[in-house]
Amino acid sequence: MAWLAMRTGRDFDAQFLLAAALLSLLGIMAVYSATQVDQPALVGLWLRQLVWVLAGMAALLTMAAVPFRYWEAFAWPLYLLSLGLLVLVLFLPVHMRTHRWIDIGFFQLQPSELAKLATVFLLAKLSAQAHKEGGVFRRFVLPLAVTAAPLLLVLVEPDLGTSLSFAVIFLGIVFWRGTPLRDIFFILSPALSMLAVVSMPTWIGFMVILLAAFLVFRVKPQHAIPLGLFNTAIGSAAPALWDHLKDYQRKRILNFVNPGVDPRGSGWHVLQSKIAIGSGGWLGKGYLGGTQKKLSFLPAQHTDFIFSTIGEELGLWGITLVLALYGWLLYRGVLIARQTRNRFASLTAMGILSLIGFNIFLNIGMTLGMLPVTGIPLPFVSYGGSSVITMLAMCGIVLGIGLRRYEY
Amino acid sequence: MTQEIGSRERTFFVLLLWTVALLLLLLRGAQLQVLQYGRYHSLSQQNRLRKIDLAAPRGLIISQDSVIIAESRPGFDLVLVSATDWQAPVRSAARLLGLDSLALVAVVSTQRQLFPKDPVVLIKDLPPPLLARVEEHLDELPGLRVEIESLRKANFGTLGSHLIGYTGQIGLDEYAKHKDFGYRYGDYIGKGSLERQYENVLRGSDGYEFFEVDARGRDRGTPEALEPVEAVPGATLRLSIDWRLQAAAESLFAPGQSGAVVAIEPGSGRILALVSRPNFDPNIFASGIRADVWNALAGDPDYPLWDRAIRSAYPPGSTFKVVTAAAALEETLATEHTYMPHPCLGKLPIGNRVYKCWLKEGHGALDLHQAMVHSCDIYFYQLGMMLNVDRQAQWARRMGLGKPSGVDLPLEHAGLIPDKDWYEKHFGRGSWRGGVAANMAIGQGEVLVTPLQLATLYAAIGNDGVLWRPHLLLRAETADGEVIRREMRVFDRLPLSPATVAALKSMLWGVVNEEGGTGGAARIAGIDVAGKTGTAQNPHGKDHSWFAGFAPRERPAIAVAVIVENAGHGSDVAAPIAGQIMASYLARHGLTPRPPTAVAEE
Repeated sequence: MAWLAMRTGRDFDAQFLLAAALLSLLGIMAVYSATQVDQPALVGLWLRQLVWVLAGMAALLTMAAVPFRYWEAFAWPLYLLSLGLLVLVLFLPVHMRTHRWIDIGFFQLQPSELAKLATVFLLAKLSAQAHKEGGVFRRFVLPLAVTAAPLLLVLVEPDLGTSLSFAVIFLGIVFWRGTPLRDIFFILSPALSMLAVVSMPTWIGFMVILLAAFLVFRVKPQHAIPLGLFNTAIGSAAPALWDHLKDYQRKRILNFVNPGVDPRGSGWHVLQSKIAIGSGGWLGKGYLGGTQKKLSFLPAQHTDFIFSTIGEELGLWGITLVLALYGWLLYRGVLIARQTRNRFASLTAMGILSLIGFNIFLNIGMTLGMLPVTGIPLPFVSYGGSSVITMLAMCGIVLGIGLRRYEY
Repeated sequence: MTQEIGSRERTFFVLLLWTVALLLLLLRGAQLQVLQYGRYHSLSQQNRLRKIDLAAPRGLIISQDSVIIAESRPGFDLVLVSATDWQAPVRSAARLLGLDSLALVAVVSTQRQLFPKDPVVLIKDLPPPLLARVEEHLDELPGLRVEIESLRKANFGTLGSHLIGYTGQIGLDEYAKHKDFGYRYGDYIGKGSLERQYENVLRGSDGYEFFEVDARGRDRGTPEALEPVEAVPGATLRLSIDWRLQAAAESLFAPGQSGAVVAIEPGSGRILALVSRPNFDPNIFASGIRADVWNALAGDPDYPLWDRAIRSAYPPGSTFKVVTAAAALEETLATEHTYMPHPCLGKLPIGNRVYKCWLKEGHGALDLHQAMVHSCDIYFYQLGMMLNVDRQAQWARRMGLGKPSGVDLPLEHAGLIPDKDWYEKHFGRGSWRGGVAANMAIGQGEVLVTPLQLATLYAAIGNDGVLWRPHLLLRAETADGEVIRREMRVFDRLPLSPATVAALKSMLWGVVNEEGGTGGAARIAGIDVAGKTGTAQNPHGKDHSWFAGFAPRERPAIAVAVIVENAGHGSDVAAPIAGQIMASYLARHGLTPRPPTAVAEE
């Protein structure tokens, strides 16, 4: 730990580490409480979570020790490796209705976890390079393609929540590098076009706005025409394709877009989650005092729905505490990203923070019944080795960047 | 326009976005935990929120000619949903319906011990007058509800009962096996024939909805905007069965007559009719069969619940002679016009026993063709001795006997084709010697076949040696129009040369159409019917009467096997029934030979 001793001081962000550690500790306690039910399969899971957290802390320290220029140097190989694993996982047997896991004996590896990190590195590298020079290809087309490949591979697993994470990484990095807002609007326009297709007037309205934006910002014709055509194509193809499908095919697509934890039972899960949290009140029922976990809530009460156990037992003050810890973690992280001189490092930090922030919002929003059910775990807290270790390793990378924030 | 990484404005924007997002979550938490605390608190108290299941109707079973054979109907059950304070309402319900209240209370306590939290069904399938009375007084019965379940209805009663089978409530043993597949104790499950075979297809998936109850167990409606999950009906089974043929075939059996009919389309293996007599009414199982009715059915000496068409194996009698003849032709022991050393004098000594022909006065000298036409036993005894037990067994197995046909029905009997090893094992060393091979050649002794196996074999001979695996399912289709199961189209070739098949067909045509042939009763004017009669010796009583055949002789449209138990000679009873079945089918479908059916459905 000599390197740590040498570098501690102002550049080592102990508060960032403390927030992550407290959240992990809270996670172990919550897993312990959530598994106090008559289910032999769940006994002792908190101990395994403890092991995952310790392994995650080791990963955090290791990652912090690695100078960020290694990440930059290995961005392409790492990215290609993770794409290969994402393709491989599609050919492996289905596990719990999806192709998400690779079984490597003691551990279920989710290649999408690696892919998220690799995509962060590569997007940061490309954006850092394209900062000054850079035509449309270097600035937009290549980063979009780099994002789309893992996004689509994860989408067919199917895993909508994780797949959206890639879009969020992209937006976070592209925003942070200083891309003009109008360019971000143009990048998002095909996605908006697809959403606007719900009715003819909204779509026409959208196209009018797009054309107006072209005129106002004086977009060059060689950029405006392909983009406009692409948006038109998406807007006109989507409904035609949709009408062409049979009922059961549509149903399949709708299920695919929102598979949920359990497509037939997700309403029940969300209701149980809301009852658990709502019945917690101001102060909660006390640690280990929750009653809703005993109901038919499995198998998600210690994984994706862990937040409802916290809400039930610790009440509104507990929720406030958890949200404050997350807020603190993100705030310290943004400070690191802001102060970091190296462009790649700063963009990497922001990519990771966007990812963590998005997962927090998606998961808690789901347990509170505000957002649809997607299988996204709560960072640091939900039971599961893959999630905990990756999250802590990512924090290690941010810490490492913080340690070297004045290096170019 | 800045291109600076992490500018002051952008930092501010990111922090603002996250603050707003976290505050939104906090406000939502406060809404649930402070503003709506009361309602969630009361919902969290045990037993306030109930989930009731919406029964999915079981899929239809439809014949090839679009007749709905089995469908679902609603059944109304009186159900106790309240976990506590149930004694008084259960007693009042018993009074209201004129039942023994002590017995009813006992039933409830028993089930509460097994499944403490589950609702208890007090009375299943309330008849309309009782249902009206219950609905009228439901307010006075807190904790009780009338729930709808989906019950099975066989539209033609006993007709085709062995084909469709029946459904019944899942028992304790079955429940243990099925609970991981979404079944609950008391759910209906297919218990025989198609209902069992295609259980996964016919069973839909139940939906559910929620309602809230007050402290006294009274319904307070559906909580907030909790959408019910609709039940998904089971898929429709489209069968290859020709319902008019099925009905016609069943009508040819006299009441009290036992037996079976299997009719197959030779060019596809599609089963056109599958009859087993006597039959039963699946509807008596619909909402649970009464013990006395069950005992009567199960104890009936005629075994009405037993599907003779696929589960009974009989000695094939002379219908087996096609196997012996095919073996002799293939091994070049004989041609269609070969004579045996001994002419038929009515009996033939083999070893220290005398074997008799069914015709006491004897057939005189005849060749293989005539021996088949007149079903001469003496001729085939000699052929059997030349072939011995093992080679006959070998050929019988190659022709698809002695193993299940692979039909899409459960519990099919494999039949029995004994060989030397089998005899050694069951009857001791050398027990296959002597006249066993002779007896086997005329389908007596230990050889056993099911009516389905025999129909399949004769269909394959009619189809010039191509044996299609018999099957009932044409397709299974969901309500959305998705085809989830397709027709099974698998074929095999009989290991017979075209010349052998042609000779067999010529002999079988002779049986029905030549002067003095035993199958004359199956003759149809203007059609070349081919087939073989058989008389299976029955140690327990009168012989069983067999006929198996197909028509027309070239590119047959139908093959049929008929057995009538204890009815005597095949030529007298089974042959005319088979003739009428084929005639009615051919008359409806035109007499012209049908082209082989297209390769795959759709």
